[in-house]
Amino acid sequence: MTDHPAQEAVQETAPQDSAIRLLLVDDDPDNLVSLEATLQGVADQLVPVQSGREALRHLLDQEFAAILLDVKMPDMDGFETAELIRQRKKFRHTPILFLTGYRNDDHLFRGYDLGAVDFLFKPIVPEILRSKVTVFVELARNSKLLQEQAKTLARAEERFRSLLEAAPDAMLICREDGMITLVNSRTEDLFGWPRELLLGRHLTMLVPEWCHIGRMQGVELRGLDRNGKIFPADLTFSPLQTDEGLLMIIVIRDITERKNAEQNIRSLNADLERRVALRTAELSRTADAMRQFAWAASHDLQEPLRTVLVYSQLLERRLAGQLSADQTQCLNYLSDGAKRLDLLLGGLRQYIRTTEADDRGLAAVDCNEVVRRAVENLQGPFQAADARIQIEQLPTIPAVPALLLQVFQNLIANSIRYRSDSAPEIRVTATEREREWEFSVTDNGIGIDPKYHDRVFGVFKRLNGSAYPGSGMGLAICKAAIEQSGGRIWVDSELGLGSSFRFTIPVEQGQ
Amino acid sequence: MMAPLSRVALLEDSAADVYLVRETIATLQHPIELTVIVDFEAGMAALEDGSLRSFDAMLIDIDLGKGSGLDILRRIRAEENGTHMPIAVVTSSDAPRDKDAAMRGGADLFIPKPMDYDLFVTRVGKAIQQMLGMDGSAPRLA
Repeated sequence: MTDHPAQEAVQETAPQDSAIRLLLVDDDPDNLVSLEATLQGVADQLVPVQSGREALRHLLDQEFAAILLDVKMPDMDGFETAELIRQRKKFRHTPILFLTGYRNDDHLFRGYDLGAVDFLFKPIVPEILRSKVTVFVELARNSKLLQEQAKTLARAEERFRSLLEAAPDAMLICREDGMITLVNSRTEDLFGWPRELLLGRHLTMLVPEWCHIGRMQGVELRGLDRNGKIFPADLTFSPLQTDEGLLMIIVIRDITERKNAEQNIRSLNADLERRVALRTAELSRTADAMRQFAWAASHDLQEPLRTVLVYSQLLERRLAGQLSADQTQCLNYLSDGAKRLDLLLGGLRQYIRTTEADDRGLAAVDCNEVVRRAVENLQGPFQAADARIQIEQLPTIPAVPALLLQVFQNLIANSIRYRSDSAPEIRVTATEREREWEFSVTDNGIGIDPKYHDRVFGVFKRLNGSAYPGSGMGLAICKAAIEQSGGRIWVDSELGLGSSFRFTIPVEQGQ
Repeated sequence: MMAPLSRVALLEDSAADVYLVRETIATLQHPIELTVIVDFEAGMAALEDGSLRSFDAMLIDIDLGKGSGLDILRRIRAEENGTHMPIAVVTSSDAPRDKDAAMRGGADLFIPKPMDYDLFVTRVGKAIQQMLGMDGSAPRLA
C-alpha cells in the first residue's frame, strides 16, 4: 500500500498544521463515501481508511479531532483497533465513535470499556452524525486554541527570561515593600549572592540606602555586595501594576568605572590646567627675555653706529673741498647707511616700548586733543606737502594717551608720506559700535594693493623701499599699540585710490 | 690774560669718543688739561691712589666693559668729605632708567652722546664749560 501524494503533503506539514481532521474507518467503501458526504464541511479534512491497520498507521503521525470506527471489519475489528489506539498515550483521550449495526448491551459495554464516547447505529442518520461530530470538532478546535495560547505565553515568558538574563545590568522585581521576587543572573554576579538567597529578602540587603521611591531614573545610591564591598550604583525604578499588587522593576548599574573615568577626567583637566599655566609662564618668560634681548641689542648696536655716523661727518668736514665727486659720493653712502640704521634702531626701540606698555597709564583721553597734538608734531611735513586735514567730532575714550598719540601720528605721517601727485587730504572719523569705537584715517594717497594689506603691518616692512623715508616700523608700532589696547587694526585701500586705515578701541577696559 | 689751567678727567674706554672729547675741548677758549682714564680698572686704581681728587671736573661713561662708570661715580661721592667735584655722566644710553641711576648716584649732569658730530661738540662742550663755571655761572656744586 502506497500513500498518494496528497497524504504525503499532509504528513509533511502535520507537526505545525493546525487543521482539524476526522479519521473515518470502515471496510465498506460505499459507507466511507456516504460518511464523507455527510460530514462534508464539518472538519477541515476527512481521512477515510478501510482497515484498522491503515487507521493505526495514520495515527502515527497525525492528530485527529475524533475517530469514527466501524465495529465489524475483517482482519482487525473496531474494538481491537480501539484497544490498540488507546494503548498510545497521545490518543488516550481522542474521542472514538463506534459505528455499529447491533444494538446489544455486551457490545456497548465493551465499546465504552475501550473508551468509546458514543455509539452510532446503522443506518446512520446524517443529522445526528453531523451534530455529534460537530461537538467533538468544536472541542478539538477549542483545545487547539488553548494549546496555541499556552505556547504563545510560554514563548513570551521565554523571551522575557532571556532578555532579563541577557541584560547588562542587574534587574530585580520587588514588591512595593521592597521584598525581592525575581532577579536576573547579572544581579547574582554583581552582588555575589545566588538567587535563591535573594528571593524573599529585602532590597535593603543590596541597597542599604533604599527607601520607598516611586518612578525614578538615575538615582545614585551605594550598592553592597556579599563581601561587604560598597560600590557606586545607578538605580532606575519603574512601578508595575499587576494582579498581585504594585511591583517595582529595579535596574541597578555598577558605575564604578564611570566614576573612575569622571575622576580621571577631572584630574586630567587639573593636570592640563597646571601644564598650560606652566607653559604660559614659560612663554611669558621667553617673551620677556626676547624683549630684553631686543632692547639690549637695539641699544648696544646704537653705540658703534654712533661712532660710524659721527666720524663719517668728521671726515666729511676735514676733507671738505679736497675730495673728488666720486669720493664724496662714497662718503655720502657711508653716512646715509649709518643714518638709516639709526632710524631702524629707533623704530625698533619704539616698537619694543609699545609692546611693553601696559594699562597702568590708562586714562580718559579726548581723541580730538590727541589728533591735534599729532598734527602739531607733524607741522613740518604738513607745510612741506601743503596737506589738509579734516577732523570730525571724536569721542573721549579710555586709552593710554602716549600710545594713542603714536597711532594717530604714525597714520597721519603715512598719509602725508605716501601722497599722490595731488596735495594730501586727510580725514579722521570715529563711529560708535557695540562696545567699541571704530576710528578711521583716510587719505587720497597712492593707496596699497590689497595683496599687501597684511604685510604693511609687519616689522621693518616697507613696500616702497628707499623711495620713501621711514623705518618700516610705523604700522607695526600702530598694530602693537592697538592690540595692546584690546583693539584691531586693518586697512581698506586700492592702489591709486587712497587708503583708509581703521582701528577699534574697546570702551569697556578695566579701569 | 690767560685763564688758569683747568684739569679735567675723562673715564672713557672708547678711543673714538676720547678723540671727540679732545676735539670738543679744542673748541673751547680755555686752557684745559685732559687726563684720560682708559678703562674700569684704571678708574678703580685712580680711586685707590687718591689721584682723582686733584681734578676740577670729570666726565664718566657708564658702560666700561668690566664694570659700570656709575659704580666709580658712587665711590667718588662716598669718599668726598665736604668737597664736591662736578661730574657729568656721558653715555650712549638715553634710557630713563640710566638717567635716574646716574642722578641718584650723584651726577651733576646726564648727557646722552648725540648721533651728530656738531651736536656732540656743542653738548659736551657746554657741559664742560658749565662744570668749570666758564659759562658765566658759578661752578655747579650740589
